[in-house]
Amino acid sequence: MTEPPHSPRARIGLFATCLVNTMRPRVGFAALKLLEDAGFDVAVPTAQTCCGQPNYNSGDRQSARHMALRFAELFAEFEYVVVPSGACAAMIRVHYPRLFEADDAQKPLIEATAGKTYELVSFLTDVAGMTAVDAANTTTVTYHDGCSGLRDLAIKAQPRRLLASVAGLELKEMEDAEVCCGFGGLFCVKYPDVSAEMVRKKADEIVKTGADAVVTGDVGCLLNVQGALLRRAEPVRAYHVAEVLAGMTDEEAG
Amino acid sequence: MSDARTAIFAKINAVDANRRRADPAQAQARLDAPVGQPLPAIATPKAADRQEVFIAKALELGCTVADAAGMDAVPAAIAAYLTQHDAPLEVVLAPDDDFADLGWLAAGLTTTSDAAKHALDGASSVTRARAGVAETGAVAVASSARYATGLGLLPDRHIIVLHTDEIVGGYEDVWQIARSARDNQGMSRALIFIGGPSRTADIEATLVMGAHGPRAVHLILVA
Amino acid sequence: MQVTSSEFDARAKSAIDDAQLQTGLFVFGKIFPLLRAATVGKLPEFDALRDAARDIKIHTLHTLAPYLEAFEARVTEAGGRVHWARTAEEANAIVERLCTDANAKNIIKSKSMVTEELELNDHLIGKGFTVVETDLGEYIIQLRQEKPFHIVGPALHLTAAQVSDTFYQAHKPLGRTEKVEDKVKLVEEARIVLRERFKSADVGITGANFLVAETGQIVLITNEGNADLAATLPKKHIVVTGIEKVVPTLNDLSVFLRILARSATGQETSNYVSLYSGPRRARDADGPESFDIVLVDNGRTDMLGTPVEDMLRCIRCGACLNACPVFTTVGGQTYGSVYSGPMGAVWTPALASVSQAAKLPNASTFCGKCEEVCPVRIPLPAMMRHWREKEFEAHLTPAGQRWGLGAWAWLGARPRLYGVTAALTGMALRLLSRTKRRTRLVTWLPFLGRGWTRSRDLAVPAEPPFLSQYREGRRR
Repeated sequence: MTEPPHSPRARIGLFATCLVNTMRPRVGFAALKLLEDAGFDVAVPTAQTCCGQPNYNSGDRQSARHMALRFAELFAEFEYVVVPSGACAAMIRVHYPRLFEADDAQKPLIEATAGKTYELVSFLTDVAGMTAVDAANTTTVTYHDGCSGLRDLAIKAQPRRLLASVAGLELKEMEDAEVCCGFGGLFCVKYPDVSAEMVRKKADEIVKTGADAVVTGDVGCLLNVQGALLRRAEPVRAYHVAEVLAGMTDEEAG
Repeated sequence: MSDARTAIFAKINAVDANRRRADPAQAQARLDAPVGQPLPAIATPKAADRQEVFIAKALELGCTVADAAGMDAVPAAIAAYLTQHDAPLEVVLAPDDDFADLGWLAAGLTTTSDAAKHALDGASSVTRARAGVAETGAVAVASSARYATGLGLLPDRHIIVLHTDEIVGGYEDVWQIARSARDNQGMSRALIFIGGPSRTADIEATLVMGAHGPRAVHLILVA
Repeated sequence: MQVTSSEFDARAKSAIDDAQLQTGLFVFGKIFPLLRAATVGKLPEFDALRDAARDIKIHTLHTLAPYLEAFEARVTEAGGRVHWARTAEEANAIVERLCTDANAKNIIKSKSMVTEELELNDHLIGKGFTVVETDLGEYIIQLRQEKPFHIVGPALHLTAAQVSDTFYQAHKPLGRTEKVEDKVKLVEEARIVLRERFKSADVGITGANFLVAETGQIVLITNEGNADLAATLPKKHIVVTGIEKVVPTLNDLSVFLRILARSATGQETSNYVSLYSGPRRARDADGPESFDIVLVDNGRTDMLGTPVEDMLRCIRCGACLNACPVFTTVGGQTYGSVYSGPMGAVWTPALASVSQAAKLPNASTFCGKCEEVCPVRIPLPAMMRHWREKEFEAHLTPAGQRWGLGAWAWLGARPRLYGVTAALTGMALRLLSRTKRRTRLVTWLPFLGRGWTRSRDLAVPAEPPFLSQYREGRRR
């Protein structure tokens, strides 16, 4: 493992994201554990709220800009910002700069924020150079590729590499792992019939693998596929990749 | 100059005024000396390989291919093909100079030059072509006094006689041929790349040959 | 352009429940992408060609006037005539006049999305002309008076049995008495019937896939050859096409020829790639006596210089439709527009209006697969988002949603209230929850939540919000 290109004990600001914060808090603690075990100094600025993606994707550009600026100022002091969500990380990394014109006084701050923000698993492998985790879990899982992480942030091999290092864990790929699960933020409640059909197909593929659990990098996708599996009374569990890598898959949440 | 034309150009030019103005001189320069674009390797096979590549692709497209040692051997080759497919030994012949003094009768073939549309139903046509394209396996034909476009569209069978040295690499080679054949009216009325028999998959995605055009395309490669 | 996109939801539901339609969608959603991937995989230069295609189109759209002028000059030199139409009404009037002046009775058409956009057929039929589509798929839906299911395969949602019924009904007046079931025989029947149309037509109307400024040629690309018959047999050839179709030279055209069929059907080339310029020459053995091109604006110049200008690069391959998880769930007719799928979600608001088409750019999860496969690299999700912004600016977003977004942004600036909301949400969900298979979940939610719980449960949070716990001192 080569020396990671960051300063020793680099300070990371963890951005939990709304869905982790409200619906799956354990993911936040799993992220903390993984980053600290990797040797980083992690803080969680508790004044954090939302990255602004719901507003951005709904056409409310003004609000998204305000939220972006607030985010940038809140996380200005950190060397890195790490986010346990492909969608939110992509919002910050890829889309924040698009909210500001080239001649906007705030553009440099926004560009800097975007440049130092990473999705969690991508940070651990691509920046910190991690190739293995300490966890053990004798189970078979299948991995769903969240669209933003995959297409905006090129996250594909990284979670698989780290999952492969979990002792006892077997990964069985599903058909159409890269096909959208039908969450899409507000899409799933604005177009419920279409979303239901999309998640039905995804649940079919998950069940077909025979895996004990489906793992994914976004809580939105997670709640969506988990909700479909639960409604069908399938025994397949659902976890966020951080939970599996941090060895935090016990008890009821999933 | 119509109102609509003026209005459309006014709108286009108004947009261009807001960014960099479209430079007519630059456009003209590009039209006069077309810029080269990325050339895939398949468009530039080695000369020695071209024929083999072309034949392989033409077969993939559903053509059948036969050889003839020279133009003299063409009528016999056509008769053999038609016999093999239980087709009548009658062809509609394009009035090409290369066909003029060949032994059609001796080969048992009845020929006509009637390319009227009603005459071509169910027929077999024999034409030349401008080029065979190794990149795709298609054959390029162009309308002229010696090629009625209908000869390649209405008959059941289209037999195309091609010299092996008329096989070129890719589209760019055909553009060169087409450009050099321009006259003061411009390009040929029609320049068509024929990639095998007409086909459709519009019913239940099932591929069926002989949609509206020929059911069979047979290439005779003359050495 | 007439659209019925507001009926998206109801149509989507019946499309999902239609097993027959879903079988047709399987072809587009599974088979076409496999074919495309296989063919693209064999061409190592494919991505470089996509970049070149994008750059050619960007250059051309920034230099549109000189290229259109050059194109017009070359067509005129070849003996053709160029007409300009700002709107659908103008375009349809021009075509009508050309047909009337020629005493036309029978008009045949090859597939042209623009003519569907203009509703040209309805206009001409309303004026007493007979208009027959000759592309097999378009012919079938014309007989059935349906809208296209997919821009490349308009009738692929139908079974052979349905086509058989349609042909039987439609061809009886033509003297055909036998009902034909077999697919090969159905194609043969269409060949025979349409052959008569081809031969008796006095006008052939085609679209154009591309226009070459260097030479004044139009490019027609088909597998059936019907466009070539329409461009050759009738004495009059009329081309109806959009102004954005122009490319500078034949060298530029080569790039598009290399990416179009691969993207559309996974073929290395379509069966017929044909370039036409002008009427028959004096020496030609056949060909039309006149050649007219109608260059249509119909909203395209309004797209220039705007964030949706990139959509003008579209070469109508349909790859984005096949890649789209929404399109491959609901099919083309759900969109209520001539243009469906991701490209339709951008074109329709541009050519119709944002308010009429609002359902379409919103019917996307922004998964990005469309942009990934687009041969000319159109940033489709960004443009759909642009339309959502226009909708929001115009206050067309449903009031409840607008209010919710405002409230959310307001909360986003107030971390304490945001935290309280998070905590209350968790508590409310736990109150509504029951336990199923060791998991606490909610099976029913009100309002917008009903959309979720109709088909899914919602696992409720097992603990207070992360930030609350962190503030209390929890670190692991």
